[in-house]
Amino acid sequence: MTPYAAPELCADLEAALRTRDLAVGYRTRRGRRAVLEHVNLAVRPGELVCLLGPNGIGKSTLLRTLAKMQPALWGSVELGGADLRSITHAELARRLGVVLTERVAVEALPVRRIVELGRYPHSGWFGRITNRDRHVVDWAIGAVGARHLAECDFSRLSDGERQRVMIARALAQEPVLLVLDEPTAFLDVPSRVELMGLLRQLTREGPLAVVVSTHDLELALRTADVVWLVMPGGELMTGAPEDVVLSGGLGQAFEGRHIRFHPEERTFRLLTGDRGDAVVHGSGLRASLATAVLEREGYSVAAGFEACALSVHAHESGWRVLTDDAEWSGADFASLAVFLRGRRTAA
Amino acid sequence: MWRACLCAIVVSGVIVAAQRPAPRVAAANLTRACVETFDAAADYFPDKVAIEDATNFSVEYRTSYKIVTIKEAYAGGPRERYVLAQCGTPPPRLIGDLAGAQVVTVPVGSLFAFSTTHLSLLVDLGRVDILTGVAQRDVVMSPEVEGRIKTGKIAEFAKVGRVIDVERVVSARPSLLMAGGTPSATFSVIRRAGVPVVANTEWLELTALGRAEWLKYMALFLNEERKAQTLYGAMKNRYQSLSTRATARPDAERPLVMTGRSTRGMFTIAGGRSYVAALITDAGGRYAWADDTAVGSASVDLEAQIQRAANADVWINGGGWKSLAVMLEDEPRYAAFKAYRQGQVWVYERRETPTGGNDYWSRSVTRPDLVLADLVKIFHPTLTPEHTFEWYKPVPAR
Amino acid sequence: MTKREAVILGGLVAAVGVVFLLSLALGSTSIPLRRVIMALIGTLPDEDTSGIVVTTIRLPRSVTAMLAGASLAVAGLQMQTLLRNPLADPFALGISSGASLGVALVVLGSGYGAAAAFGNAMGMRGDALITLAAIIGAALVLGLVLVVSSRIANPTTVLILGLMFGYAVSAIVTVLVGASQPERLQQWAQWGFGSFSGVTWQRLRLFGPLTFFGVLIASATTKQLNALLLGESYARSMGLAVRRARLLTMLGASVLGAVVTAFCGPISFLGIAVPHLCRGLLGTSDHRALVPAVVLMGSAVALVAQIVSLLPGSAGVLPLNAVTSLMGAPIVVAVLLRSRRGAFAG
Repeated sequence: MTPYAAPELCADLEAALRTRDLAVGYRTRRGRRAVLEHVNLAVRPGELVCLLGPNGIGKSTLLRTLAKMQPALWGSVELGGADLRSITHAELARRLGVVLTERVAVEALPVRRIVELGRYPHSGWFGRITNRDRHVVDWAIGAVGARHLAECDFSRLSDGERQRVMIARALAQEPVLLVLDEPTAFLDVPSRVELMGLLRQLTREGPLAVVVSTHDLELALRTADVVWLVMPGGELMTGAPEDVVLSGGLGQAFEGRHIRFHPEERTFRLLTGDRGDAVVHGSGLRASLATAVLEREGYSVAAGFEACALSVHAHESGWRVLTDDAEWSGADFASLAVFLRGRRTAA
Repeated sequence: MWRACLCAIVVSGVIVAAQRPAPRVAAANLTRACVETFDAAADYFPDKVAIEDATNFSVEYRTSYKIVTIKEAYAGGPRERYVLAQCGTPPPRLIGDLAGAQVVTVPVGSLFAFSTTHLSLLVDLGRVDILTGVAQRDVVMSPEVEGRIKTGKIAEFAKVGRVIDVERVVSARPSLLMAGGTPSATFSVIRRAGVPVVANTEWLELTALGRAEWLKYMALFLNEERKAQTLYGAMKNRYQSLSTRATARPDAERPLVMTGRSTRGMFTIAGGRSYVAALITDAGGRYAWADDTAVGSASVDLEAQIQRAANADVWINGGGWKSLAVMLEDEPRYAAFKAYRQGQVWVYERRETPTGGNDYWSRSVTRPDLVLADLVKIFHPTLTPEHTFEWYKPVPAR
Repeated sequence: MTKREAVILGGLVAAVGVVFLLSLALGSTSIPLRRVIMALIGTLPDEDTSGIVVTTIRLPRSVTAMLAGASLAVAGLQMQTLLRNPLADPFALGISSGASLGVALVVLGSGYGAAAAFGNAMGMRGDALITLAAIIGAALVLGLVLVVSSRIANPTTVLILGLMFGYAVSAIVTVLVGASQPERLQQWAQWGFGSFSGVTWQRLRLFGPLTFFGVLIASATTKQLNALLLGESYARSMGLAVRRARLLTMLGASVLGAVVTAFCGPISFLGIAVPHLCRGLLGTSDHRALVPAVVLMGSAVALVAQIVSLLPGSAGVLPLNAVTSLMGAPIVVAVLLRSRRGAFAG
C-alpha cells in the first residue's frame, strides 16, 4: 500500500525526468567549463537507472544538476513535464528526493524524527505534523524495512541502516523521482546488496523512478532496468544492462592494464596467464574453485589446452595434480595454492 | 709642684678640647642657595615643620640633612625613606636605618610634578618657579601654572594615557620627580638614570587636614618650612574653629547627607572612612554610610542607597549635572530621593576657569577650610551668613 | 512533542515562575516577602522605600533579565545549529567587539568630545548615548561580516571570519584603552561587567518590544533549523532556500545579541551554555522542543545569575559577566561529560 493515490501519476507513462541537450559543468571566472555535453536522457516511471562511469568523469555533476543542486550550463531538465528552472526549490522538493554519499551526523534524534524531516516541503509553520504526515512517515519507514529501528537514536545505527533511513526520509517527501549519489560508498557488501535490492523493490511497487550512481558495477548490472554509462570521452551510452555489455562499452570504459571485463560473467577479472596453461578436470563448484586458485597463481585455464598443460583434477575429497614424473594431492585449496607457488620457485 | 701644674694644664686642655662647641644656628633655611663653606657644627634647618595631622609621612631633622619616611609609597606598598641633604654639605653615609634610602639634594632646582594637586602645593608656597614638568598640559587648572606653561618653560612628560615617558624625564634631568602615589615600573629606571623619584601619597590620608598638611611635605624639598608651617597653622585654626561651631549644633539640626551618582544601577559613593565622610562629620552633618569601612570610594547597589538615603536632606558630591531634569534622564530613579525632590543636590561646579575647567580638584586639597565652610553653609544655612560659596552650588531645576 | 518533552517544558515554566518571584524577593537589602507582595499588588503607599525598591528597581531588572536571557539563549541556539558548531554563540560574527568599539569611542579617548557634542544635539546623554553607540558599532561589524560571508558556503569559514573581525576590532579598542585617562577606564570597565540593573521602565519601552519580537521571530525559524540539522545540501534538497535562510537567521540572531549587548553590556556564556543544557535535559535535537526550552531556560538562568551576583544581604555586587561564566563553564563541562559521546559527536 503506497500513498501514491494521485491517478495522473499512475497513468502517466511519459518520462518522469527528461533532459534536452543538457550540458553540465562549472562556471569559472573565465567562463564555462563543460564536463558533459549534449546529454539527452529520459527516465520513465518505475524505472531503476544506474549511472556508471570511471572516477571523475562527471557522474556527481550530472546528478547534482538533475537535482537542481547546481545550475545547468545550457540545455534543460524537465521533471514531470516542468522545466527545473521554473520551479522553486520548495516545489521541487515535493517531486524529487535526494540521498547523498556523506554520512550525516545528528545527535539525539530518533529515526522517526529524521524521516519526519522529509515532510518539510509539505508541513506548515513550525513544522507541524498532521495525521496524514504521520501516515506517510509510517509508510516510508515500513517501505525501507526499518520499522524495528523507528524509535532508535539515529546516531547509533550502522552505516547501512542510516542510509536506509535517509532513503525513507526522501520517500516521505512523496517524490516521483529519487536521485541517489553513490549511496553505497561506505557500506559493507551485504548492506550494498540490500540497498540495491530495496531500490529495486521500490521501483517495482509503484510509479517511483530511481536514478542511482554507483561504483558497484556487477550489482548494478544485475539490478538496473537501464544503465547510463559515461564513456571516457564524455559520451553517454544508455540501454538495458545486457545491451550495454554486448556493445563492449564497459570494457572500453573500465579496462586497464591489469584488468579485463568478462562479458559472459559480466564481471572484471585480473589479467592472468603468465605462468602457463592449465586444465581442470572435474565439474561443479570444486572445479570452478580450483580454476579460481589456478588463475590467482597466474595460470591461464581453458578446456582446450591439453598438451603441456598442467593437469588438475578436482574431486570430492580434494585435488590431484599429475605431471610426467610425479603426482601431488591435497585436501583443501590452501595446499593447492602452496603447491603451485612451490612450483614457481622450483622452476 | 710644677709637675702638678703641668698635669692640671694638660687635663684642663683636654677637658676644654673635649667640649663640643655649641652648634651655630643659621638664620633661616636656605631656600635658593647652597652652602658655601660647610660647618659641621651648624644647624642648617632652623625652620622645621611638625607633623600634626598627616599620617603617611614623617620627618626627622639632622644638622645638615632631613630623613623623610613615607609609610606607604602607594596603596599597600612598601615604606620608602628619603634623605634630603642640604646642598653644599657632605651627604651622610647610608648605613643602618638609612641603607637603601633615596638621596635628594635640597633645595631642589627643578621639579617634575605628576599630579595637579602637587601644583597647588607649589602655588600656595609661591614657588611655581621651580616647576619644569607636568604630566599633561591640558588638565592643568591653575592660572599661575598656565602662565608658566605659556612661557614654554614646562615640559609634558606623561601625555598619552598618563603613562610616564621615561626618555623625556631622563633627558630633562630635573632635580626631582614627584610621583602621584601609584606604582609604576618606570620609577626604578628613572632613578637609575640619576633622577630622584619621591612619592606623594596625600590622597591616602583619611582626613582633609591630613591631606592639606602635605603642603609641608612639598616645603621639605624647597626648604620653605617657615611658610608652610605658617600657612597650615592659620588654615587649621580656621578649620577647627568652624568645625567646633558646626558640631556643637543639636542633633535635630544635623542633616542626613548622601553622596555619589548612579550608573546602571550601581551607586559610586564616598566610603565611610574617606576624608569626604570626615568632612561631612566635621561640618555638622550625619553621613548615611558612616558605618562603611572603605577609605576611598565604594560601590553600592542602588537599592541599598535608596533604603538608606531616600530621606537624606542633602546630596553632595554626585556628578557634574547641569540640571535636575538632566539627572532624571540619566536615571529616573533619582526621584526616589528626598534631597532630589527638594532641590538639595549640591555640586562643586561654581567656579569655572576661563578654559572651562574646575579648580576644585586642585585647590580644595590645600584649602579644606574653604570646603568645610561651604559644607557648613549647606548644612546649617544660618550659621555663617558672611561666607559666600567658594565651589558649591545647587543643581538648578532645568 | 513527546510526553517527556511536554513534562520537561512544563517543569521549566514552573521553574521560571519560582525564580522570578525569588529575584523579586531577594536583593542587596532585605525586604520581607509580605512587603514585596504588597508592593507588587500596589497596596503600599507611594513614598514607601520598599515599594519603590521593588517596583522601580527589582521588577524592571527581573523583566530585563528574562528578556535578555531568552534572547541570548535563542540566538545562541540558532548560531550553533546554523554554523554546525557547539562553540558558536550570538556574538560569533564579531558583534560583541563591534559594540565594545562603539562604547569605547564614546566613553574613552578621542571620541569623547565629539560623541558628547553629538549626543547633546540629539538630546541624548550618558547611558542612552552609550546604547546607541553600541548598536551602531555592532551593526557596522555585522554588516561587514555578512557581506563578506555571503560569498562563502562553509560555515566554519564564516565562524573564523567573524572571529578575525572580532580580533581586529578588539585591537582597536585596546589602543583606545591604552590612550585613555584612568578615570574613564573605570566607567569602561563597569560597562564590561554587564548588568541588568541599568534598564529602567523607560528603557524597557524600547528593549522589551525589540527582544520580545526578536525571540518570536527566531522561534518562527524552528522548521528551517530542523532542516539544517542534516546539513545544507540535504536542507536544500528538502526545499529550504538555504542562502536566504542562513542570512536571515544569522541576521536575526546577531541583532538579538547586539540589542542585549547595547542595553546590558556584554554578557558571556548564556548563549553557549543554555542550548547545551537544554539538549542534555531534553535529550533531543528537535528544535520544536528545543526552542521553547531555551527560551524558558535562558530566562531562568539569567534570573539566577542576577540573584547570585547580588550577594543578597551585602551592599556590594559581583560583576554579572563573572557570575554567568562561573556558572556556565562547569555546567557545560558536566553536561558534556555525562552524555557519553558529547553533543555534536560524529
